[in-house]
Order: sequence, then structure tokens, then C-alpha cells
Amino acid sequence: MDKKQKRKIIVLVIFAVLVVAIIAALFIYGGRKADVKQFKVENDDILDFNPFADYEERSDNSLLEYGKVLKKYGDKKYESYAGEDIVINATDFYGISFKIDSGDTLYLYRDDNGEYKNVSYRGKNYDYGKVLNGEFSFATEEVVRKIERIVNHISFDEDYGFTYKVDIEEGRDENGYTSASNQKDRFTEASGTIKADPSAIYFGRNDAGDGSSSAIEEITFIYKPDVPETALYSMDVEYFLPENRSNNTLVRLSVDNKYPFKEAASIELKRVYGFFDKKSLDFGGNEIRNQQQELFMWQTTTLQNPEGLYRNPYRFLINASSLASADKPRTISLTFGREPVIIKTITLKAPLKSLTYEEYKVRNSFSESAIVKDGLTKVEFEVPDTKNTISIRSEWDGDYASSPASYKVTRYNYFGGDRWANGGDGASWSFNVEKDGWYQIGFRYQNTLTDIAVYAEINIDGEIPFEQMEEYCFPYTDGWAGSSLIDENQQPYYFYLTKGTHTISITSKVGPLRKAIQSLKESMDSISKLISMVVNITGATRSSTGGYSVDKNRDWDLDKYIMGIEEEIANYRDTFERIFNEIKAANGDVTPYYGSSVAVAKALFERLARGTEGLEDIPASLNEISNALSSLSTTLQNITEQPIAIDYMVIHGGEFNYDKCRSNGFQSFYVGAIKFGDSWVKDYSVVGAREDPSKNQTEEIEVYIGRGREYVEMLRALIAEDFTPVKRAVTVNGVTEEKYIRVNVNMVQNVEGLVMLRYVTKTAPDVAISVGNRSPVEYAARGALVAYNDLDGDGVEDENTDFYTYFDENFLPGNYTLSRYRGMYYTVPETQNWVALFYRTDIMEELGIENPPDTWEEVYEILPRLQEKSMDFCYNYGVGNMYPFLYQNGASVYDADGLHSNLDSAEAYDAFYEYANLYNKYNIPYASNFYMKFKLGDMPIGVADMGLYCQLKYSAPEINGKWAMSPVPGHLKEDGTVDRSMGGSGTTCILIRNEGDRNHAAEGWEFVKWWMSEEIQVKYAQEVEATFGVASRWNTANKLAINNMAYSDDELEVINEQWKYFTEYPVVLGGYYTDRYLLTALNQSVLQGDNIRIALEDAVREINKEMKRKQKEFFNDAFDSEGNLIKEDFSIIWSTRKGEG
Amino acid sequence: MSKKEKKLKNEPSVVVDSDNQELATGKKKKDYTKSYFRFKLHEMGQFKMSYALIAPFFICFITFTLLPLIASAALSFFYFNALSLPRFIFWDNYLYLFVEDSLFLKAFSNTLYYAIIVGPVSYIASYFFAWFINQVPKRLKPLYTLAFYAPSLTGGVALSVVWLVVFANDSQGYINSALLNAGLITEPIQFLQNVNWIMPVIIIVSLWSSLGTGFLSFVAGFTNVDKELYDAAMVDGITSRFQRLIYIDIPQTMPQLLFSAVLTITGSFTVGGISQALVGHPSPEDAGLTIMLHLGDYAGQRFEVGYASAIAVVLSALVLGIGRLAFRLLSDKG
Repeated sequence: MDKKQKRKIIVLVIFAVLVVAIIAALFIYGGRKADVKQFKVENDDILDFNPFADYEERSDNSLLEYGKVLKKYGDKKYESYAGEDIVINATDFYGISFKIDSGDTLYLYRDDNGEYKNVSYRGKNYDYGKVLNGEFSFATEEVVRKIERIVNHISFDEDYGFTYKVDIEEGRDENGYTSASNQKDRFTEASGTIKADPSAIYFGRNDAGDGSSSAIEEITFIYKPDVPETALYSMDVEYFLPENRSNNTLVRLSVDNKYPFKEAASIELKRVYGFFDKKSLDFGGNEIRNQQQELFMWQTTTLQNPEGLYRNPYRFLINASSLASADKPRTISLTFGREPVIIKTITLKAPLKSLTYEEYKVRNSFSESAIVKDGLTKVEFEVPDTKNTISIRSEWDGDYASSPASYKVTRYNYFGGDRWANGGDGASWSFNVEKDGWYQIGFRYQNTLTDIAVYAEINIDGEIPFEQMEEYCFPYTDGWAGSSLIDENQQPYYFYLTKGTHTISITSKVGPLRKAIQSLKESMDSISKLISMVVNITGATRSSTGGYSVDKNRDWDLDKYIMGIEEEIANYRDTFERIFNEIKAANGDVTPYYGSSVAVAKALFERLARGTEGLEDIPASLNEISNALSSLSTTLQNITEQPIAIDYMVIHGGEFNYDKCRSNGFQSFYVGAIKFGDSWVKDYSVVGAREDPSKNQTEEIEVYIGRGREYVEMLRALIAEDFTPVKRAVTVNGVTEEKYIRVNVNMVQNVEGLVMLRYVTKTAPDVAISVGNRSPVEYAARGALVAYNDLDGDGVEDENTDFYTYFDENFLPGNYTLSRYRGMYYTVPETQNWVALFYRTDIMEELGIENPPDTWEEVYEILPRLQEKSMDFCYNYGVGNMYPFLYQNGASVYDADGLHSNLDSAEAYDAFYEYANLYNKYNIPYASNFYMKFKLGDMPIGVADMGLYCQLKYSAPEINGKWAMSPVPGHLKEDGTVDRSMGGSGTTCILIRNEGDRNHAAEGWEFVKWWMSEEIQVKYAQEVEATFGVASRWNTANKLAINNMAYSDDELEVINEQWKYFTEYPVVLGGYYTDRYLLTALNQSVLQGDNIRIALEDAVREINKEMKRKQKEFFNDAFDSEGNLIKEDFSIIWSTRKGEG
Repeated sequence: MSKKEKKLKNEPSVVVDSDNQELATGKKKKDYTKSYFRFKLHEMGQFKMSYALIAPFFICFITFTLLPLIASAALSFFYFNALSLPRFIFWDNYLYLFVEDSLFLKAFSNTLYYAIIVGPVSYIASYFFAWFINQVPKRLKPLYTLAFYAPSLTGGVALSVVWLVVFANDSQGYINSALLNAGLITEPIQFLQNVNWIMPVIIIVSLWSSLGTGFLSFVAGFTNVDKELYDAAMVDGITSRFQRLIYIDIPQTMPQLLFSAVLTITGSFTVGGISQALVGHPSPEDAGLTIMLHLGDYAGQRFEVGYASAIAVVLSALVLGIGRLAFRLLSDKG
């Protein structure tokens, strides 16, 4: 054997070994057993609290804190109630209180005959009859009228039972009251599916949707419960949610005129959603997402934490009726919080105590022989019967082992995933069992976040079978896996199921992490207090970026100034160590991604807790501590996210093999290969189209859109449903023709770039939407766009253009500015973000700030009050936030013709000076994560756009009802009004110029008109919100459509008020230099402290130079050789020069 | 050769004499040299296969490099806004570029500043590291090469993700945090905002990723050095590795030195992506503006493709000129 052969053999052997290794690896990787390992979390004490009688008037304690505080005083113990249910019917109310717009509260109490007798107003009790008869001389007419108005409007309604009616704001007289003729029923009729029940209370206000607010702020219904003993009760509420904006309903519950604990002030009543049955496919065979719909039905719920924080429902301490006295009546009150609700009964019940598994087995007489071994039932989970939140939905996974499996075309085959992450969210499914007996219940599931165990309540037929199901842990699995519900010894639980249909509900819970969450919140609160103490002692200064600087050459004896600081620090160290261990334990002895910030905090406090040496480090470590705090606050948000995806459920007697839940390496490889091959062929841009868009090209316009697939699918569905089937009148060259217009919607990544490239090659689409709002004019100047008021493209405005009427009707006048170039209009606004001042009502109250600032002067006034508490106002640094100051100071960005920058005017200087002072003089931070700081209360007030609103609505339930909006602060004008002029980012629709046969400008205009009409925008907005939830509320630019979206009336009032002042500066040739050089000037004067006037003048010179250059580029004949303007009536903004105003 | 022979055989008047063709085929020679072009074509015909093999590259080179270069040179005399037809304006673009465009000067000086530091330093570093790698045991070579070469593979944006954290303006940036902890500074340095820091930061990041193709060619060059030369040199009395470097390695790797020099010059004059990724465009007070970014700004943002072409031409001329200079310097020595 020579050397060559030898080498050949060696190579072959190595190759063979490699192949075998790869095959083995595939097997080992894919074919490994579904390794679902249950674990036990030690010391997870089930919430058990032990209240005493006289708790705080309005407790801000959460239930956990509450229970803890009270344990210290634990001499007086209350038992859980064990008797019969006590039902309070809606008609049993004993009194009503109204909070009137002046802020006063008016109470009305009934006597035994049901007559209103007592009136309590401003702390005095009056006899109702006497007040009306005017016998109390000191009861002013004002009071009498108020009472009259309210009492006259309380009535029993045949349909809804008890209702109250209030007046609307229109035509109020000087005292703030309407005359009788303006009184109007404020309620829209609930839809006809409601079962009329005269004993229910219609509870709510202001759903007329006309943007006005009522004279009555708040209404409370007071019940006198007939309670036999003082004990802990759980409470059921039977309610009906009429059709409304899709927010969850909020009510506040107080017992004896006090909120027993913090959470009682925001009790959420959840809605129910179901699905339309029909499944439909697009022309390529992809499934189109099943439409969801809200189900209107009576529901009964036991009041509990809406975020699934606690293991058990709330328990309320209710005093026995015998303890009541005339001045201390024992009552339960329900106050309206948000969205209308009809309430029928409140039931006080004995708190439910779940059985143990042993008890459950004994009660249903478990025996090995009763396990049914041949009744395998598989229940697909992709479409639940009902679900309680709008955003969770069915999803598609192309895994080999998925059921039903589909690798090439979309088939929604599992439920949940990333969206099913928050506690309290859940759904229910029904299933059939053939035989009575004992079964295992198992799932094919996947925890979509690495190393995170998911906790959920499992409820069968409305009951939790045994206590382990209160918070069952789905251990983390790498990828899809299957497992029965098992105990910590990996033994399956058996469930007794009778023959017939059952319902299983799975609701997310926070699980044992609640303790960690609670301690995190507590320690973060006290650490930030500690920081402010240290800052006070050391006199640390805070820079605009939020960092602290302390004199590092000095040692501080902090323990002399702050009592017990050493123990406190040691305490934090221990707390973080405990939290870290708890996080680890709750996830099955692994640390998930969010654990690192706790580890960092732990290490930090370990360092600081080294005795005197550590204490000396504290002042120098302030930044480190505050950084740790901010990453902990992110953790606080992440920790509750436990996403789970469930494919199907199996009910069996142990014969089901879970190995088939996981695809092996070959299968994954096979699926991957198919998908890879398919990716070359599949045209993703037409997924969701019901018809093949390549057919029937003849009468078709092409629309480019740069949004996600779901958005495009929804648009396609709307077009197919509403646009194409209707004949549209299209006018071309003066001839009007009625015709159908087909639309080919193309999903593209970079709309503007692609549109221009295709324009150059003369194959441009006809319409592009989701285009930026400043770039279109740039294209228009180069002749690439068709003006909306010049559809025939001859350069002269069309005679019968309907552009202006359409625009005036649907959009804010400020949008004209963005659309105009030389007298022609090139854009129609599509989306537009509104801006508002957001503020924390609770903190403002604490600080004694009654009204949110209306002007910047008022902002400057409250700033010291904020800053002395280490709080801040948020107005982020940047050019965008500087423009409002220009507008409000009466400065224009350009001259009337758009030929020169106007930033060298005196007004512009004032505006610039004022804006720079915000940072230089008032020291507000340049940039900050407003959302986080707003939630924590560090930045309780600030200006932001609707993005923040959506975030707060979606992911900040803990401050629900604690924040409000008002219009952006402005400048007081001479006539006493406030100028709040401000712009807002957005997108637009444009028509692209095509020549000859390809010219479809008129059809394009019809499409844009249809798309931006109020009706379609409302429809689209509803679809978007139904699919993605409130977090992605559609930011329509249509000023009419926004009033029909899910905002409350107060919010709409703010938005509409701010939109009155929508102002933007025109787009002119060379205008992009304004942003650039204004920023340079800002940087120079704010960041580097240069002279403002010089910075501004430099900027203006550069801007003017570029503008002139651009003007010469396009209109060379308007200038002489020296560069002087020679053309008489020359204007960039208007078609000819127009005078002032 | 067979085809040629065949052809020649078919010519009756030709005497086959390969040794003295000129003499024997006086008539024939005239045929081929009737025109230079025809002669060349004939010559090319003899190397059909070779031309076929370089065709793919050559076609790509012509369509995507040479033609655009020519087009761009032509366009620099036009006003062209990418959407409508070009208009001939002769040298107006150049006039504006040299006389009025103050930003171009800024871009030019930034680029020069960058090129003067990054060019030589990265060139020398490439050579040094390649030489260093050549010294390590053979098995470890690929590992080291990969380690040094990897940064240039990751691309401007990926780098910036790493470096943005290192140089972050807030106190959480690695450098700021380290300096703060060491007590050297009391407030974070605004590395990516402060005008004085922007260019140095860009240069540091560029240097880190500058061991690219040139470096690889050095590595290859060192492997090609004939080992016998070392033995011969030993005999001649060379004692240290340094001497070996000076007397053998450098002269032996002259072609690579030249190749790498050209690459380095082009690379350092066309910098842009890294600056944009690090400090954005427009950067604070244009402190990170380079010729490439200036060019992109005119072409993309202001639709002045003609003017952008003029900048491109100037840039090309600059690179070409300095490239020639390097050529001359290095080939003289060789």
C-alpha cells in the first residue's frame, strides 16, 4: 500500500466518521425525549392576610403589603366566612353619591320607603324635601338646581333597570349649568342582544361619543349589605358589558367608604371574545386569520387581581350589619371608573378553598382501575371558544410535529405565543369525553422565552379541580414539547371527567414570582429615597444627562446623618440575594435573562455593605445605584412576562407517547429544506390576497405600501370588500366615467426609494401610501408626482377639483402646509401622531399642583417643586421640539415665499433663547426614557406623543387611573387664549406621475379619497386594534375618524384641542438644511454654551446659501448672473408671489 | 499550436520555418501587421481560452466599475437630478466644488486627517501582524489569521454596535464607566457628540477593523517566501529574525506590499460607512463628514447626481494620484 492510497483511506474514514457524527447529532438533538421536568418552589406562602378592623382611610397598600403590615398586629384574627351566599341585587342600593364638576360630592340617601330624603352636600346634611322647598336660607339656588337636575334624572328604565341621566355640556349657562332644553339622554342604546333585566344597574357615563364631557364626574352606588358576621368574604359580580370601545371596564370598590387596599380602586371587568367560525384561504392557499368578535353576555366573576398576581381571589373584610350605627353605616360602594357596565348582582361568598389532590381523589373515588386507557381525545387549541383579551390569537408554526402541520402555506395551528405573556390573560376550550373515568391531561406546548417557566390557572368546568391547579407550572422546554400535568415527582395528575362536554380554561398567573416583584418594588422605592437623602447630604449635583457628580475627594460619614444606613444597605444586599434566589427557584433553578440586573444590584450592595469602607463608597456610587435602579425597573416589567404557546391538548389514560410532540433532526431538516426551497418561489407580497393580482391587469392601479404583512392583508380585505365592488366616477380629460377599479397592493420595504427607482424606469406604481410627510415635495419639485389639484398634469389647477372640499372636511388645515409646493398640493395625510402633556394625577396631587400647566410660564413655576423632589419634566432635546417655540413666539421658519430662512428675526431669537434656556437655565434632562420614568414617578409630567399613550394603556396597568392628559403647554396670547401650536409626525399618500396609458392619476385619487375617508379609516382602525390590541392603535390623520376610535371623551377633548393648533412649517427647496443647521446651532449654544446669536446667525447664513443654490437649480431664469432675484412674482410656496396674510 | 500549424499548412506559398518566421513569411507578416488592431485580434485568437476564463470578471468589471466610472466622469459636466433629463452645464459643478462648497473642504480635511493616520498605521500594522503570524507554529497560523481578519469581516454596522457601547456617551459606556470608576473624570465624555472626539473615535474603530485583504495578502506573501533563501542567508551570516525581515522578507514580498498599499489608499480615502454608523449623518457640526458621505449626501438627499459625480471624479483622481505615487515608491525599491 503506497502513501497515496493510505491517505485516501484515511480521508474516507474521516468522511464516514463525520457523516455518522452528523446523523447521530441530528438524532440526539431532535430525537431526545421530551424532557419536561416539574419542580417544586419552596416557601411560596399562599397569600394569607389577617386584617384588623380600623385600617387606613384610603389605603395605598397593595394586598400583599396590607397583609404583611397587619400580621404585626395579628392579635385580632378574622376567619373566612363560611355561610350561605349573600346576594345584593342592583335595586337594593341605599344611596348614590355624585361627584360634581366643581369637585364637591353630593350624597343622596334613601329612607326605608325608597324615597330620597337625606342630602349631604359640602359636609352638611339636608333634608331633601326641605331643600327643594327653599326652606334653608343658606342653601343657595345653585345647590338646589344641582340636586334638582340630578334627582329628576334618576329613574328606572324598562330596558336597563336603574339609570341616571346627566346633562351635556353644550350651552351651559354662566353658572356652568345647562338649561332644561339642552338636557339629553347621554346613553347610546346598547345593542339588541342584551337581555333586558329591570333589576340591573346601567353603570357608566358619556358614551355618546360626541366629545363633550358631563357635568357629573363620578357616580357611586352605595349598598347596605345584610351581613351576619364580621369576616372575610370573597365577592362575585354579575355584569354585562355593552358594546363600546374595546378598553376593559374599570370600577372602584370601597367598603365602608374606604378602599380596603390599593387594587380595589381599579377592579377590571374583563370582556369576552370569540371567533367567527368560517375559515378562509387566499388564492395561494394560505389561511386568512379568523376574525374575532366580542361576545355580549352576562358574566359572573369573582373579584381578583386582573394581572393574576395573587393565587387566590380578593378577600374583603366586611363588618357585620349589627355593628352599624347611624353615623357609621356599613356599606359597599361601586364607583364608575372607565367604560359603561351593567351590574346586576353583587354576591358576598365564603372564600373558596380548593381541595388538595388527595381530597379530590377521595371525593371522586379514585382507583387505578377507573383510569380510562382507551379514550384518547386530542383537542386542537388554535381556536378557543372564548378568550378574555383581544390581543392573544392563533399563530402558525411550520414545525414538523405541529398539528395540523403545514410547512409551505399558512395554517394557524397553535394558540398564544409571545402575545400570551401577561397574567390574567386566558382562554377556554370545550372538549368531549366518551367515558366516565380518570384521565391524564397533557399539552404540546412551548415557552417562547428562554428559561422562563410559565404559571397558569387550570380550570375545568368553571372550577379549579384541586389546589395544584391554582397555579400550575409549565416548566421551560427548549422548543416544542409535550407533557401531562405532573407533580414535582414527575407523576401525572389524574382528573375525573364524566361523559359529555367539558370546558377547560387556562389563565396566566404570575406565580411565586409575586414575592420577588413585591420586594423589588419596595426596595426600589426605598433605594430611590436613600439616593435623594444622600444627594441632600452630599450636595451632589445632577447634570442634564441625569448623572450625579459628587466631590470625590471628600469622605462623608453617612452613618452620622442617616440613621441605620448600614443595616439598610445590608438589608438591600440580603433582599436582592433573596429575590435572585426566588427568581431562580420560580424558573426551575435556572436564572432567566432578567436575573442579571438583580445579580448586578446584589453585587453592588455586597460591595457597599462592607462596613465603613462600603459606606464611604456610596456617594461616589450614586450613578451606579441609579443605573442599577433603572435596569431593575426594566426587570420589573420583564419579570411578569411569561409567554406560552399551546398547540393541542390530549386527554388520555397514559397511553399517549409525548415523544411525537417534538420533531427529530431529520424532520426539522426536511421542513427546513422545503421552506428554503419554497422561499425562492413564494411571493410574500401577495399573501392574503383573495384573488391572484396578476390576472386582470387591464383596469388596475398599483399601490405601494410599506407596512407589515398584517396591515397589508387588512387593507387588501377592505379593498376587496368595499372598494373594488363599487363603481367609481372617474374624470379623465373632462369626461366622467363610472367604472370599477381593481387595486394591486404591493408590500414593499422602502417605499420612497423603490417608487423613485421605478419612476426612473417608467414603471412606477400609481399610488404610494405610508410615505413620509416631508419628502414628497422634494419629488414633486422634480416632476415625479401628480398634484391632487392638477390630476391631468398640465401644470394648471383643474377647474372642478374636489380636492379642497375633501381636504377641508377630513384633515386639519395645518396639513396644507406640508402638501404645498408652488400652489399645488401633492400629499394627502395618512397617519398623524397627536401630542399631549401627560401627567401623573396622584403625584401632582401630592405636590399640591392642582391643574396641569397650561403655558410654559406655568411649567417654569412648577419646575422647582418637581426638582426639589428629584423629579423632572420631560421635553426631549431636539430640533423637532424646538419648532413649537418658534410657532408660538410668532416666528416663521421661512419668509412668506419660502425664499429665505426667517430664523434671523427677533421672534426666532426669542424662541431659540427660550428653548435653549429650558436646558441651560431650567436644567431639564436632554433625553430620557419617559415611559419608564413616568411609570416610576421620577418624571411625573412631560410632553409626548401617542406612542406613550399606547404604551401606558397596554403595559402600565399599575398606574391605571393615575395619569391624565392635557393639551401641550403653550404661550399666552394677548386675547387670553393659549397658543399651543405644535406639529406631529405622520405619513402621507402620494400619486406618482405616469405617462400615456399608464396614467391612472384620476383612479389613484379615487382610491386615496376612499382610503382616507372617515368610514374606511374607522373600519381599518377597528381591525388593527382587534388584531394587535391597544398597543398599536391606528394613528389616523382623519380628524373625523379619530372621534370614533377607542379614546375616552376626556382624551378626545384633549386631542381635538391640541389638533386645533396643528402647525407645520412648509417644505421648501433646500429646506433640509434648516433641520441640520438648527441642530448645529442648538448643539453649539446648549451643549457647548456658545453665544446664541452667533450660532443662530451662522446657521441662517448656511441655510440661506443652500436655499438660494437650490432655487437657482430649479429656476435659473428667476435670477440674474449676480444671483439677485429678478423675477417679480416669484414664490416657492405659492404659484406666484402672494402678499402677507 | 496545432491550429496555427494547420493554417500555415493550408497556405501553399508559405515555407514552414518556425525558427525564422520573419524571414520566411515576409508576405504573411505584412498581412497581420496591416493594422495594429488586426494583429492584436489575431494574437487574442491564439489565447481564446484565457480570454474566456477572464471574461466573467472582465464583463462585470466593465459593466459595474468601468462604465459607471466613465458615466460618472461624463455626468460631472451635467446637471442631473436623477428624475429628469441631464442638462449640460460644463464645469459649473467643479467651480462650485472648489470655490463655494465650504463643506467639501471640511470633508476633504477630515478624510485627509483620517487617511494620513489610518493609511500608514494600518499598513504597517498589517505587515507587522502578518510577519508575526508567520513566526508562530504552522498549526496555529489559521487561528491567528482568523482572529486578526475577523473584525474587518463583521462590517461597519456590526462594529458600531460593539463600539457604540464602548464609546457610549452616558456613564454606562465601557470607557466612560471605567474612567468614572477610576475617578479620572467626573462626568461622562461625550465621545460621539463632542466635536473634538469624533474623528479620533472613528480612527480607533477603523484601525481595529483595518486588517483586511491587504493583511491576508501579506500572510500569503510570507508563506511564499522561498525557505532556501533563509538557509542561504544563514550561511551568509544573518543572525536575527529582524535581519531576516529586512533582507529577505521585505524584498520578497514586494508585490504584496504594492497590492496592499493600493488597497489601503483606496480604503482610507473612501471611508464613510463607519463614520455614519458611529456618529450618524449629518454628524454634530459635520465633525465626522468625509468625502464619501458628502458625496452620498448630494446624490441621495439632494438629488444632485451631477454634482455628486464631480465629487466622485475628484476623489478618484486623488486616489489614483496617490496610488501612482505609492507605485513609484515601491517599485523603485523593488
